[in-house]
Amino acid sequence: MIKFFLMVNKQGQTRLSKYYEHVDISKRTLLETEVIKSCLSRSNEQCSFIEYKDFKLIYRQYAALFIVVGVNDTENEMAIYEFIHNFVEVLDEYFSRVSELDVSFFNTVFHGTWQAHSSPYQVLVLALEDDPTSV
Amino acid sequence: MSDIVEKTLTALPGLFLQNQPGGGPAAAKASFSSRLGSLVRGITALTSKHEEEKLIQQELSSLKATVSAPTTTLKMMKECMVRLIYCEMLGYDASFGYIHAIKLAQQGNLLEKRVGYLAVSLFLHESHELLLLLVNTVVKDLQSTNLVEVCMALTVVSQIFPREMIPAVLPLIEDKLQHSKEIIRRKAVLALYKFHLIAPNQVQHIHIKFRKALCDRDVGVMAASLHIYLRMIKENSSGYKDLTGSFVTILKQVVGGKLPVDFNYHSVPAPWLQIQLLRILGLLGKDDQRTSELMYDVLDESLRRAELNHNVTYAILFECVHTVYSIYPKSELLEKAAKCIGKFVLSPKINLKYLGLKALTYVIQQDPTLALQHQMTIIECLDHPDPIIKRETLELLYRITNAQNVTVIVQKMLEYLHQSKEEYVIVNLVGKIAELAEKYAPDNAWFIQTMNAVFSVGGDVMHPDIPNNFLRLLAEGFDDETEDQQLRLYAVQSYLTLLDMENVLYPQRFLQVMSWVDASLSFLDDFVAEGLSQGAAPYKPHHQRQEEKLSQEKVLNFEPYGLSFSSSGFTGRQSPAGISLGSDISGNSAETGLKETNSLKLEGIKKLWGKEGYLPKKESKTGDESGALPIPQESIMENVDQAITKKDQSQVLTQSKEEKEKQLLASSLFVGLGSESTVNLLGKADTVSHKFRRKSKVKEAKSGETTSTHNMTCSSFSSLSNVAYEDDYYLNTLHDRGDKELKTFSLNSELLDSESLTELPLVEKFSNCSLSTPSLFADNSMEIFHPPQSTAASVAKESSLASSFLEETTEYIHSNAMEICNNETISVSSYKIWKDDCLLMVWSVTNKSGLELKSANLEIFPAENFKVTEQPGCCLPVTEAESTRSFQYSVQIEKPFTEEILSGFISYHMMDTHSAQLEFSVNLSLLDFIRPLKISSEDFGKLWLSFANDVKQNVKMSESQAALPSALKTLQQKLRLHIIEIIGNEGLLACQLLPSIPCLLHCRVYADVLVLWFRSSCSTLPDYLLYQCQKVMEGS
Repeated sequence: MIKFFLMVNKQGQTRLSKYYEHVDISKRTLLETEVIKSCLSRSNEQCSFIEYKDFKLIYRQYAALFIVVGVNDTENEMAIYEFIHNFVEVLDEYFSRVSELDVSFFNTVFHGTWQAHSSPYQVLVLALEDDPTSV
Repeated sequence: MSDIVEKTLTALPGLFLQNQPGGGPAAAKASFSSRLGSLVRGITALTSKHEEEKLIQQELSSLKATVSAPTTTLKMMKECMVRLIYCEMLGYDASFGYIHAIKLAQQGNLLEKRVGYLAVSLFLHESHELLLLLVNTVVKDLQSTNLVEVCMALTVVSQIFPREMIPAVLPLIEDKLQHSKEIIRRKAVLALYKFHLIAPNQVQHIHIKFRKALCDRDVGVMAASLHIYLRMIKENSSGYKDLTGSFVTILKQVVGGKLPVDFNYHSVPAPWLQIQLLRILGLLGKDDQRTSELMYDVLDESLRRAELNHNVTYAILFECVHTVYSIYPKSELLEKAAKCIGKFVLSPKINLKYLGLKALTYVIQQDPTLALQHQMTIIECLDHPDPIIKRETLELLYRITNAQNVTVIVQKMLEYLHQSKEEYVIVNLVGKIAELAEKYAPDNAWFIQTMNAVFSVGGDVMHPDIPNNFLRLLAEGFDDETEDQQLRLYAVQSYLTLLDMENVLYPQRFLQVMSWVDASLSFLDDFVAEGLSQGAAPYKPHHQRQEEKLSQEKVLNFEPYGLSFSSSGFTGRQSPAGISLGSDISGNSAETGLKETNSLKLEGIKKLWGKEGYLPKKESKTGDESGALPIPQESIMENVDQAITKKDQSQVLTQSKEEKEKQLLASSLFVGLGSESTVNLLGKADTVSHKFRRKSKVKEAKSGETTSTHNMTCSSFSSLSNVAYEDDYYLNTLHDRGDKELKTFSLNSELLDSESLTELPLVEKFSNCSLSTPSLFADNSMEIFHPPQSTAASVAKESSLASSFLEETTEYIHSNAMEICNNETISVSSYKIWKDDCLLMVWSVTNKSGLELKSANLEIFPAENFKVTEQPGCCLPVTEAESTRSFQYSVQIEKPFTEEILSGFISYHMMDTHSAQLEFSVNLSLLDFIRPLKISSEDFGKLWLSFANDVKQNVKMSESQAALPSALKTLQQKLRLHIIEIIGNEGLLACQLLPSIPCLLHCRVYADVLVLWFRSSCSTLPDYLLYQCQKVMEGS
């Protein structure tokens, strides 16, 4: 099960966040800071999965932007890892070369895609179902 | 690139014709000029957090003004909402906008409504009160003829919806399952999935419809229904075995490429769908040969097809391997799966290696030979620069630990432990080490040293069970008495050595353990003396220190976290000379110390230390605060070295040194696996005798108990061993009424907290007679244990009294006898026996006068709420001098109440025909009549629907109960509720009010709030129980 989905840049600015279990706003900021810190501390030779409290973090870096997914221990890390990439490919197609600012600007588009209750397996079909324009 | 996007995009116009100007990147880039755009760019340009805060606060205050202005149009509101979402995402509170989000969803046109719904689903959480305001809007939109509105309503329901309001929308959503548009059907399934997650009972009746969704011609609808099935099968796989064929067929079609190519990801057909199906199959085939046979073919095909070198096929393969090893085994498949794992583990790609290790960890118990095959890789991973890989390797080693390799593995774990700083990792690892040490320790010295390391590192964060179990082990001992003695001696000696070290700081828990073992604290004498001679402040009593604390700015805070210090009524009694008292009896510390701890309650270890408790530590710490934790690892190292040296001699000395070391490590790690390596497909039985396992079996416990009863003078250790049986004992006696053993239970807090009872006579007595126990324990945050009667000479009187009337009733749990009234001739004490079917009250009259009592009669005043019946008990014809007579009454409750008084009087005649009367009263609580109700989750579901009376209430949990299981445990222990099941953050409990009124409790946790929901056939019972629950939750 996915617990949260984050897009954070190297400076620690959150570009997108979605929590599947309620977390207080104050705790979110702390969690996001810690998550990005632990992602930044990893090198290329290290694997893309991190233990963080009782979840696993699965992250991928695209330029200065980190996409981090927090899951519980029943999840298949590699499936999530590829899911992140799939998601980015979809964005890239949609924006014809997606950039970090697109993400933050089209926040609402992204949220539109999170239909599937912490399960990635629906997302693609649902992606972009809702029209983002004119926001 | 993903074809799905295109498909989705082409499908869009049909649904979204309304949004004319929309679509695509052009429009996207154009709206960068909007106000959100400038906010985003403004924030991006900032360099410091402080500036960001300033900017956002500014933004928020302007937003606040705009949203509350009456002139604000819905269009503007929508624009504001988007910015609010952004601000809140950055961590700034935007709660003033919540209500406007709801309004927007209610009133706006399509797009505005869409933003309103989105904002609601991001801002609110399930138990937020504003959410109720959304229900009407959702109902209206579900009935709309505009498909987009229906879609939006379904989307929001599938994300967030108040549970109590499900019935309001359920029929509407059920209808949507038959809708002609697949997108509506799919969203309806997802909405129902949400309901299933939050209120499974409410969607039970639509299971048949889920089956239809599973067979839907649209792949999306089918895929959506898999979420529900995965969940339901996880809970109860036996109910869905008949669907195995369908899942197999679907998987076959997916693997065979029968789905539209749009579902391909990097030319792999619907990988995430495959994974989902494989998980379902794994659950269905577990321990079920017939079902498993149905899926062998498709699993084989999946393994074969997933040969493409791409990450996503690895993900599928991993899931396949998992499934192959979960279901009833088939050697051919196992072989292929093993080969697959091999490929992963040996891969140079780090992510794949990780996956391989994880798979290996999962299968290793079924097939230890795999570990042997990959032993060199595993050794390499142990020294991998990536801590995550190391960690996973340790997890693997943990699974293959046996008596022969335990020393090496534990050493590796300790090494890792010393490097890690993260609390979660420490807690987890420390628990594992303690478990392995208990199970497989080769000798006493190693065991104690390892546990010392555990206590030093795990300190105050580790699970309280660890010290508890450890102490229990020390106390209980094993089969061999001399060995037990050695173990204890060794423990005490090792603590003395540890404490002799200078400038060292030990965690609270560790000190608690030490001082429990040597309760006289004699080992601190030198310290104290030395400390004083070096000018350390002498001991000051608590209140004095408190005062100083106030006046002194910088005082060290010694309070360990998580310990609650209930204000202590005993504080005053604390001897200011506590330490010197300890020193006085230090001569035979080990002996006396243990004897005295006789009266200590083992279960209360975690609350062991009160405010005064760590005083000695304060003394010893006055020197240096910052000392590092030295771990007595030498002996562990030595062990390893020895093991290695032994192997060394048999090794050929031609390899390079490094290579050789690895080989050696391998041989010491994987020793013991070879002999068991004949593949046992059904998993290997754990045949290793658990050396340090505590005796928890009923039989063992009982025989032990009997022996010690006969052997009242046996050493203090064995009396302790009685003590340690307590909790297992309780559970078992409930079922073992037939046994007539002479045993008494002092009232155990496991079952009823002392607070909930009105009498605590023995506790009082014991705190008196154990005054020589060092001041440490005088504080009442230390729970005092009541020893079994047989070993407590100091309560001989009570015990004889008890045993005389106990013969009949020992099978049940009862409270301690408490004197309720007396005069110069007689004394009356009473106690409660909580029988399964009633409450039995026993009054016993003791004749103190030495004169013969002619007759004694007891009469109970009639009471409104209960029925009292005399039970023909043991009636002595004549009550002789200094002897006792008891009366038994069974009490049945007629009407629920919280607390009532039962009163009556005793009348008696003395020899000289002088007659007298003595009145008494006893408090009865509702809890005396509550018994656990053991039913299944299914029965719970049925009963739940059949009960009309319900009460719902949110209770705030204290920190110590923050997690659901601990909160439920509290309820189980204190209210005697039976825990039926815990599902995620929900728990089901049941109890009955005697004679047979059931009451069900459904608990759910949000953050630190526990939502209690009672249902019963009796109208008042839920309220009474709720009151008790609140009392318990607040009390602890």
